[in-house]
Amino acid sequence: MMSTEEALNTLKQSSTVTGDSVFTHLSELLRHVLASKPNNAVDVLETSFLLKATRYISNESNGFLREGRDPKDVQAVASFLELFATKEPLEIPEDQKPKEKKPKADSEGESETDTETETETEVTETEDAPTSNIEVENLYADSVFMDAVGVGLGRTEMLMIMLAMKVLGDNPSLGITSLRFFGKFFGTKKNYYVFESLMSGEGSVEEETATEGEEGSEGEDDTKKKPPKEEPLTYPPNVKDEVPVEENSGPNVNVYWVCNRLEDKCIKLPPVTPLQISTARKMKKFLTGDLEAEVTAIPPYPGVEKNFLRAQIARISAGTQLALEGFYSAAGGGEDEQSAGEITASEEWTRPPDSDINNLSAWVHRQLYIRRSGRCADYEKGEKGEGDDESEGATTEGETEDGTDESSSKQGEEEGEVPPVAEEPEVIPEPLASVENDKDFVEGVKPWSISMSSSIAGFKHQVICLRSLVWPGAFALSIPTKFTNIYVGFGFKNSDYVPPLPPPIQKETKGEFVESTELPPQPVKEGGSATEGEGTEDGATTEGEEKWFEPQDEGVKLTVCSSLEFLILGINFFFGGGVGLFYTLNFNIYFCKENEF
Amino acid sequence: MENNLTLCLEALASSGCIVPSEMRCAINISLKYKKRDAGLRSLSLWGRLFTAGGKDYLLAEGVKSVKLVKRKLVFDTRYYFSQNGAVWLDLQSPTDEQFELSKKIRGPFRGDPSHLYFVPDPPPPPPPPAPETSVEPAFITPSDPPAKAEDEGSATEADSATDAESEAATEETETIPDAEPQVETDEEGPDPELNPEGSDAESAEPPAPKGQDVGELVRLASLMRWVDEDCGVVPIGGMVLDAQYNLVKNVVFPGLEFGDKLDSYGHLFRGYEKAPLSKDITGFWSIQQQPLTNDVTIRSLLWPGYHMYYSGSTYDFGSLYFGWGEKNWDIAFMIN
Repeated sequence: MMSTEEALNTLKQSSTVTGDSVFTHLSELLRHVLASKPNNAVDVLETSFLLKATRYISNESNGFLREGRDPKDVQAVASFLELFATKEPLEIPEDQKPKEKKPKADSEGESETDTETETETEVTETEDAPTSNIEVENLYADSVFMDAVGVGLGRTEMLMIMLAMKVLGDNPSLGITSLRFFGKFFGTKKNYYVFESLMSGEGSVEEETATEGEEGSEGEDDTKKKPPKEEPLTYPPNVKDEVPVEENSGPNVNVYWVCNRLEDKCIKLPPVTPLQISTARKMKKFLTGDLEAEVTAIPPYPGVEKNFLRAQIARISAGTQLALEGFYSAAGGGEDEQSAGEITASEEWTRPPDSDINNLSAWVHRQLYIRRSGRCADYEKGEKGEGDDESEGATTEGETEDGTDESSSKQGEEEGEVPPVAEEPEVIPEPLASVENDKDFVEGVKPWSISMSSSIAGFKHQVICLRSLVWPGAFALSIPTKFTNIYVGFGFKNSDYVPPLPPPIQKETKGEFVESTELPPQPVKEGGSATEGEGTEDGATTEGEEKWFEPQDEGVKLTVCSSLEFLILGINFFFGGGVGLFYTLNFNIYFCKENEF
Repeated sequence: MENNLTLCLEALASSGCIVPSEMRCAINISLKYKKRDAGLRSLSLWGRLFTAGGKDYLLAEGVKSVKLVKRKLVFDTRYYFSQNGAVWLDLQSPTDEQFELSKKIRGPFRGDPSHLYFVPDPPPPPPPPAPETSVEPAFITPSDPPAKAEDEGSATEADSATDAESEAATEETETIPDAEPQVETDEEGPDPELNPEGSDAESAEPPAPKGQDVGELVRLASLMRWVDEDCGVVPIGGMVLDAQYNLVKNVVFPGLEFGDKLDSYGHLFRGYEKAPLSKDITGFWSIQQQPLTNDVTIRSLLWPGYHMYYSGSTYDFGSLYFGWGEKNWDIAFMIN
């Protein structure tokens, strides 16, 4: 028999694997059973396993978690803290800039306190272009109202965004005159925060020289140098962008800045070209989060992801940036292309009461409509502007609020036709078109849905929010002073993707293959010249010789013809097979799409 | 099973999951009422559905039990919806036929519980049945749905009304009587039409294209089931079987070793540990980890709007669906 001590010792022997011992485990088990008092304790004694499985795992032993020693983490913290630091004004050659920096910094820095909200908006609204102070929307106040209707990004993230905006706006060398948070794009690997800015003319010129050495200018340098570098890589060589770019107007009236994390330096997005917009309309793609990533899609995208992102931004802002009616007025009644683009804020504008805002007719599109060509303004076409099919096919879908119908029917229509289809004339809404006239999303469903901050009828202070069905994630909301827009989403349009049709089948040759009656040129025989010379010597033999030669000649003729035919057949098969393969591929993809996953 | 509502909303705010302030205020209390009234083990906010009409649905999912039966997880879940955040009404679990029908509906939700969607019958030569996923979760359909739903609905209202009085909450007292009749009538309205099975529609207009009507509420419940099946993401190890073979939240969850890998997460409703996300088609998921905090956000690209978070420091997790209720059918073209 074992003494008690011995028994205890045995029980207390700890396992080399887990460090546990029978003694502690059993006592733990008993304690657990007594504490939880199950009805049928003995039946659930498997608790023992559970305890064993769970008890010894502690956080400390988990060596796999990154504990903040990773250089990436350190970097993140450092740049995060930088956001909260008050920086010395940068040394800049111009003496005008630091002055305007001061008031801006004050007003924005303090906008984080509740009390500032009213005055802040006053400040931003009264600031005009002449003083060239940076106009900033009062994001703090906005975020409160966004919360009220359940959009936006939450209070903490909004504050971070404000800090990031301050950093961006504080850099006087960038020449930003007004700054606004555009929205957040979810990528598959990283996200994008996008800021919309207006640049002063001289600022953008100056920045190239002034910010050469700075980190922030990396993107700038890239954009300047990139296009020539990229083009050979990403452009399909046969597609030329024949539509001229609108510089500093139309879709390029605003300059966009983007960063993956709010601590990061913002990178300026290059201006968008019409081809990029029209190609983006034909495709549907997730963003990855890497600005330099290749955009693999059909049709081939002319540019990298930052160009694609920029095109999507242009489309989104054209489609979903709303303003209350009357706040802006389109200058130039003449409606000629130059002046139509200019939209100015009206001086005397009072916000209509909530009851009036609560319908679509009170809202207008703030940005210009982007036409099929990918431009806002018309342009003189070249000698044959519609020359290449690629860019022509791009023009099927207007940036309107209609859903899929137009594009798909248009695509279908094109199916049979190869030559440039006589396009149905594009209905171009005038600037500041009312939202009410947007085409229905689905039959009987407006492209915008209106929600209120309170479901209680007769609640006095309401925030009204318009949600776009066409661009999920685009919101416009009315706040007590005016209105604001935000986009939070994946950056794709809610319309069915229609894969582009394969290139037209190559034509059968028109000419018939008639058997040639002509004899092929007689091969010059080297050895035969002697015999022929012999033959020609006496005329009698020539007859016989001809007869003797005839069948042979026909044989030669036949073989020549048949080999030619085989060649043509072969070519036909080759091309036909290629086209057929293309079709099957396409249809496979198509069916893939129809089926469920 | 129950999400920590505050943590969840806080963590997913940066993904755009924000409940309107008024509803946020209401669900703090109303969800707990509903949970008690319905006798649920847990009831957590499931998401928010944007509607074309403007009256969004808040959705909640309750769990009666999750049991391991014959090595398969059997879920007894209940669905609830609310249009003002205060009054939660029951959604019947869809039958399999209703579920299949609802899958065919396209277009946005209307925001009107009595709206009927017309689903045309498939063309005469029936297409081969879609390949069924072998891991179809087994749902227990509630045995006594309609009568109980009514009871519970009225019970909730009575309860909430009394409580609101006792609390003398200023706004809530206004909310409930105001919203009550309206939502109630809405609920009454569609009820007879909930199980149309085509009989009404077909007899009324024989020449019209054949098909069946599906009520919005049926579609709503189907959506929840569908997203649950396709997503329902839970970190592996976050749930454990207890001694009675119930799947419960693991109170001693030690965190994930590789939080940034899809292997560490499973589809709860498809078998949990047996169905890690990494076995899905590549590209269906977007997973992002924050430096330093190690917080992970997982987004479904198949269901844009489904977001899941896992906190790298406190190891809690949760997911929400904030979207328009439409599956991304074009995903094959969109992923890289």
